[in-house]
Amino acid sequence: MLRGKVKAIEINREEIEGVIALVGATNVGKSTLFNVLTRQNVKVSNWPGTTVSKHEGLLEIDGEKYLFIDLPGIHGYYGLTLDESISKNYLLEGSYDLVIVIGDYSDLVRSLYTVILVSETFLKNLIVINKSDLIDQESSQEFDELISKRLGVESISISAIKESNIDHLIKRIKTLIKNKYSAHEIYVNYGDLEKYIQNIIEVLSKYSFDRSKISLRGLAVNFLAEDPDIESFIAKTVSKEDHRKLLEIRLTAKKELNRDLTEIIISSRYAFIEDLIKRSSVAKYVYKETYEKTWIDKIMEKPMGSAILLLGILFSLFLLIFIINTGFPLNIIFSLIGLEDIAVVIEENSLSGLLSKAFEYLSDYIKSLMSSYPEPLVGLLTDGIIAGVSAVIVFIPLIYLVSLGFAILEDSGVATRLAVGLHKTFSRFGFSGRYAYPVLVSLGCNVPGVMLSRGAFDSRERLAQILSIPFIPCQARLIVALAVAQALFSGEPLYQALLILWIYVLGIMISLISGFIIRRLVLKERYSPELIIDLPRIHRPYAKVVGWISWSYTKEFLIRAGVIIFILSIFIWFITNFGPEGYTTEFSQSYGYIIGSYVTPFLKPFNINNSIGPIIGLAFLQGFVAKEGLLSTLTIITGSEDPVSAINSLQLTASQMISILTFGMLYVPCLATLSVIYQETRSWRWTLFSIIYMLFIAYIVTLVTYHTLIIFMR
Amino acid sequence: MMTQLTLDMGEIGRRYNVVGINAGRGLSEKIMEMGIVPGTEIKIISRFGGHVIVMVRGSVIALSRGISRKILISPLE
Repeated sequence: MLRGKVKAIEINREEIEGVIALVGATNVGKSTLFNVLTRQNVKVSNWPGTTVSKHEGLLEIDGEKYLFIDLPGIHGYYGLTLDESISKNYLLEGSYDLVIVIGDYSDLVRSLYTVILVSETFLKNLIVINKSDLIDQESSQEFDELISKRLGVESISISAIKESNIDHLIKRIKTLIKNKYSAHEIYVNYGDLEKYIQNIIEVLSKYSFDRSKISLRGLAVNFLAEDPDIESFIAKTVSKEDHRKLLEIRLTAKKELNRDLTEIIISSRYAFIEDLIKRSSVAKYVYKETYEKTWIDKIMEKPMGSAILLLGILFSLFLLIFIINTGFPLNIIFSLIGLEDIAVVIEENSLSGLLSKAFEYLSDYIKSLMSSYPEPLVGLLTDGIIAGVSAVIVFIPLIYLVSLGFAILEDSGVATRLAVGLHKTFSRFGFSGRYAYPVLVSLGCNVPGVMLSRGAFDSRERLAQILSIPFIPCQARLIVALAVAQALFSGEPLYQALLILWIYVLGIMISLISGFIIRRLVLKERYSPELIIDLPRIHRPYAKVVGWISWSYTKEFLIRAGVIIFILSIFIWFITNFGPEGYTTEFSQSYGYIIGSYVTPFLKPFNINNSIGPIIGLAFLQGFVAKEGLLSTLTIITGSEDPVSAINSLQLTASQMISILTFGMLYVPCLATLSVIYQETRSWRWTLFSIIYMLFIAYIVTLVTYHTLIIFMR
Repeated sequence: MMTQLTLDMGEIGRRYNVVGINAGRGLSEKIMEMGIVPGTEIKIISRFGGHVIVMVRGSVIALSRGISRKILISPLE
């Protein structure tokens, strides 16, 4: 997940006293601890060759620097997921000084499974059990002592969110690294398997594995469990003959025991953990006879409960965001009851309205200051550069608010329940309930929406999500739709609202159907995705965590998409202000006009006048950069005062206008979204595919829309 | 012979014993690593959106119908 600041920090390995990896199950508060330790002094990149983000952070204490690496959260080793593989291979490579394996008192048995799994194989480990604020201090101290005594591994109970015992933890990290500490091997009793484990260790002990870091016993057990990463790690080191010998031992074990070896191994680990807990007073917190249903569980059990709950949450969340951002739908409601003046005030004083106004003033001011300078220079500065900065900045409150809402849902545990509740609906279209988040966020902006595909159940669903998200109408498209609605149904707010509703229903439906298309036709997958997921405790969201998530989203947008939006805004300024003859203020002399005119043949089925073909073409080209660019281009090239009169000046029929709007809502991801699609898929093929795919779907839908509309209206 | 059923057929509020897991490589390991191993006691606590919500070893886990069909259980009394 996206946590922490996206800030470029200089990491010079030579200056670093020690490298510490954090590993643990998801939901244990790993990212919280990471942020607390590094004070958000963090660098974000991707794990090589993957779309999984890698977080590195620095802790500087008494002039010494420590580098922390946040490994992807894992629940186990054998689920064959990318995240598991990345974490395991990082640990196998061994370029760290200490591994902090994190457990969690709110889900003790399950989180300790991951702890045992990791510390069994990787010896430079320190166990940290988070969320100690949920139990009494005496019990947590006693449990730490019990682990140290029975496992031979140091354990420290902390509360990352309350920052309790963190100083002690940091002190121990420093000392352990200075002393080149390795923990003892953990002895889980694997019963009948012990004989075979010994046989494997015998073979492995001939080779020079780094015994201060890796336990041969751990390797042997995971080899018997057929862990593919550990198997290839062993195969790289041992001779072919010995590898064959190892495979033989495993085969014999299977034959002689006539049982699934992995099952024996997993059961033994759980038995070991439960035995440990039952010896301690923390047991009273772990085994509760009844599960106390929260109000959310009670609602969700009712038929349609989850749908109603989701709609309720979504509706209030987005109403709030929309009102702040565009004034919608308050402006429509007010003009509906005849208070036009108030409607205008609301619209103009929405956050994004105020921001764009500020930039307009700035650019007008610069124009007046620089009136003696050459026109192209002033144009570049104001209409190119300042407009580019403005295009990025205007998005920031929007992205911040969307991610704030999302972070609250996520941190409180509500988001997971909603995903579960909606799974059935989404799985009809080939998505898991996890698609609810990207859809939710994409209504604000597709850029973080595409990033959220990281929550998908598997890599194939993730691809289906990435390719389907851009159909979801974002707020930039809402602005375009609002302007068209105003131009088309001036003084008829009800029709305006209906048109807007239609745009949303259409976009969301196409996005869902797209899931089906991608999954069944492109990926040729026959089954719907299945879900197995933890339900975390419902709790009040922590302001600190919510703040981190929303801030990091905003920063990531600034760095990843902002730069591209900025550069392309300037590029588009060039092609609309320069032509074969050099600088020009005449639209018909620009390169943009030439490019735009290629669109004309495609407008034939809509009976649109050839002369406005290039205008529409250029507007769509601009909309590719950023959807709201459709409006500003139209305004500029038609020489109109505002977008609404620009649309009116095209003199299109209602059917033509609605069709063009429909196309504009669906046709391509904006360039910022496209850049994130590439970022997430790491494939030009899929990025290109997403453009062609959307153009194709949008054109078909538009044709159907137009020919349906002309039956009923002009 | 004990009565066996799949997890999706279990009753809310009842305790069961996990008898077996009938899934392919990867998925069956994933289910087991979540703590649902043959021999584990499992309590069905709720059902929503086509999912079975169970309590296993003090944790609450949601399983979609497709997955819960692959888990064999028998009632505990």
